[in-house]
Amino acid sequence: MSRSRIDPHLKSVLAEFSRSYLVKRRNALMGQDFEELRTLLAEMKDASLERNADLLDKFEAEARRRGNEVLRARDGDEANRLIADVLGRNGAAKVAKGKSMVGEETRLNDFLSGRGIEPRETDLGEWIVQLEAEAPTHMVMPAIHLTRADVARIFARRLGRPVAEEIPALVRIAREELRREIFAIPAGFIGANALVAENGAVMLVTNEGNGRLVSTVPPVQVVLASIEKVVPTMADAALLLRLLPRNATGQVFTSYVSFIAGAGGHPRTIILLDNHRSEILADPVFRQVLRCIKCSACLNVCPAYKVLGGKEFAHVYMGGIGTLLTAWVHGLKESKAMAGLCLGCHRCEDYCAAKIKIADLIIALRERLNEQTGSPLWKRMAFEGVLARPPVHRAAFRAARIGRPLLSGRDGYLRRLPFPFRTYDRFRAVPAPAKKTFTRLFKKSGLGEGTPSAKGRITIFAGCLVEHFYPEIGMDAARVLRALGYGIDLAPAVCCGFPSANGGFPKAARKSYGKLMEAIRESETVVTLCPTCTTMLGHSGPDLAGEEAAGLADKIVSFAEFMERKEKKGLARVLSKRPEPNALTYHESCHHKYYLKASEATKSVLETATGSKIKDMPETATCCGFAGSFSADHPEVSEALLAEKLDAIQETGAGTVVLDCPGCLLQIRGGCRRQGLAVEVRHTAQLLAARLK
Amino acid sequence: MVGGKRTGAELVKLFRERAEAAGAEVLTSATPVSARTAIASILEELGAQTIASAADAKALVPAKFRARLVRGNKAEDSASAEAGLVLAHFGIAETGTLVHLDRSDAEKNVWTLPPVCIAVLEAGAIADRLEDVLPALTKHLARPAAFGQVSLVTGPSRTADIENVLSIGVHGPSRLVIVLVDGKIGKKA
Repeated sequence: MSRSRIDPHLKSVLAEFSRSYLVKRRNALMGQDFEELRTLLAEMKDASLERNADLLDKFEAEARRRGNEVLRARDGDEANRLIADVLGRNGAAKVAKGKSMVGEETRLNDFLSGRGIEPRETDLGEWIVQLEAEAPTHMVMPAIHLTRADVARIFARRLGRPVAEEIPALVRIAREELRREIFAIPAGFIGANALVAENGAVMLVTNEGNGRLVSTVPPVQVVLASIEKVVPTMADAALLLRLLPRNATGQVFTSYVSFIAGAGGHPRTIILLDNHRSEILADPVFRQVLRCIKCSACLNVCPAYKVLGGKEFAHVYMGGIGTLLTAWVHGLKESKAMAGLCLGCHRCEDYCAAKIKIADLIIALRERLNEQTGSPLWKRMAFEGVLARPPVHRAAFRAARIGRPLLSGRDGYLRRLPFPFRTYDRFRAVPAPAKKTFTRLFKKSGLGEGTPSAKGRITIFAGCLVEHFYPEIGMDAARVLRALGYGIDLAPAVCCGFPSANGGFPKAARKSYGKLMEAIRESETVVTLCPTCTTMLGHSGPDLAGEEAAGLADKIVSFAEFMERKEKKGLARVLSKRPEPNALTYHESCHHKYYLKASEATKSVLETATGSKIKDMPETATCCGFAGSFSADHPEVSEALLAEKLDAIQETGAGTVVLDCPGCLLQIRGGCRRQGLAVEVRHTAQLLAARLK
Repeated sequence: MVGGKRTGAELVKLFRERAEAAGAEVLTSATPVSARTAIASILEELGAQTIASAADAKALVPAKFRARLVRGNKAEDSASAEAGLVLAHFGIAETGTLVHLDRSDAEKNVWTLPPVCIAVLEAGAIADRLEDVLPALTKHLARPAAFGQVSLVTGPSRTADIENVLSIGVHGPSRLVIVLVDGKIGKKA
């Protein structure tokens, strides 16, 4: 990777945008039950998709009754041809366009230009990127990557005179120029936010009012809409409107919402585009992608998008949802690079207006990519050859431990990596494998002997990072559980299968998980020390194994949740009441927060145990950039996210960061070391164990 | 609130709050006559030489401005007017939105093209939520023979496309003045 993919200016714009978006969104949703609304929206969209063909027929009939022409296009090329034909038939050599992501999808502008028809974008952001011969980098904010100085330069070139770098002046220029054009251009083109079957209405949502102008002033009218936009009734459209502005831009409502049913004397043609959406509809796993209402909330909260922006993390559509759409509308191959950019943090899923499991679906997409386009040899080797085979896995770590004196310094970190690998350890020190594994230390300690009380026995599954790099976390967890009166067993130190599952290698994942599944069958409760392993054991693994894993998921509980549910009183008994030497802050690990929904449990345990309040960390719920193999695949993104995380930690002034994930611990502790920050980074189990009486 | 429903005065209060939050200006008048006086003073303050109005709002034009009225039948007329005078059919308190059941492009243009939009709304026509006025919208859109469009307008035209900074008036009006009238405006032309 020679060229940096991160534009520092854009990164800071996007960070600020994301911050202000979250504040505005929270205010706009005040008094609304977001969970209930998005459940209703998801159900409404699912029901509409179920009878998509009938609704389209109904829409078409009603739109025709109101004087519109309705045409169907199988793919983007056909849609473009139909649009060019309509314009040609009406003698329009120019067309004034409202914003349409579907028009971007079909690359309508290029097609029209090739046919001698000049497309003129009228949405301010779209117009700016069109003048600059660029593509939109955000679905709602197309020109978010450009500054006011850029825009002034672009306008100056267009007008042939200098232009002030002031936003109101730039907006005034746009108004004058575009108003003149809209009045001179004989045809108007718009996209659609929804199609209402019961009355053939096109619903159009715009803040600027350009959509309203181009759908009223020019005599000839064209609408391009993808087929999943159709909903049965006005009540369904109203439900969509309850969420769209609030979730998209944090507005209570958008400036202009138009329902355009009657053609009103215009020759108006509505083109309904399929472009492989029927295939998505027929796919039981991916069908929910079509619930998307293009609000872009997923982009606004995506850590990778925030760092990279919509030039790097895009084909035409951007971010996570864009990856999924791309796989169908532009082809599986085009989605490959994008699929690799998903951190798998699942944050977007908390914000999606239609409850689309974006991150889960990206994992499913990786499986298809591996099946159909092949996968890198090193990944296949790692997942199928090593992780899925415990003897090989163990041997690899044994070898690393033997080589430890050569690899690492006395501080327990690897020596700096040689040149081609510099990007991997430039921003964070990488620990050497521990001298002894957790399993070995545990066996020697005698902590597993006997059952001290009637509470029974607990099985600890530590996970690979604790087993090989951080055995002290495992020992601390064991000590706390023992002090609370539990007998302790260890689950075998095999890979849970998550890395393989996440990489799209379900067979290797099933194999790894299967071994563990058999080993824990007799256990009553399995306490885990890594939220990612917990996700595998409690969710993805049982899904892969089906019937064979029946009942196993219920036994799995993360260390923090176990303490919160069962042992808050017990902890008060066994832990000291002395004050913590350092102020504490808490980093919310992605799987812990977004998948297990367990952050509050940890905070509550920590506050009860220490008797002090946790200092809130800004952007606490944003990924630290580790994300397993992601940090090796995309070290630049990993580094940028870690830098933000370290800034946030310093802003709290806390001397100790507590977290629940050994992966985050590796990343954040390694980053603190490289930057020379005197901040302790500790797992919840370590913090509790240090307080044992 | 009474039985979970907002009362008339609460609806007006909430409508005003939300409309102002969206960047609209809200004036209140006790009667249609005082509304016309309020409109006249806005037009005077603007020094408006041409005023656009669709057929349904024509009766609201103050007498002394009748001569400056362009009917707004042609888009160009509305575009050249300094102010547009319109009549909203409903208000939505929850979002500060004006609802207009459009019957022609000319009506839509008066709302959108002049730099200032003056919209008259009966206080009694303010509903709590969009869902409450859906029957009227659905009915209006149901008739195939009619023009059949509906506009929901909330605040002035806005954009944040340059650096995510809010600017108003990019395509539509930069000012939306809502004149709330307590009484009945009379027969809607």
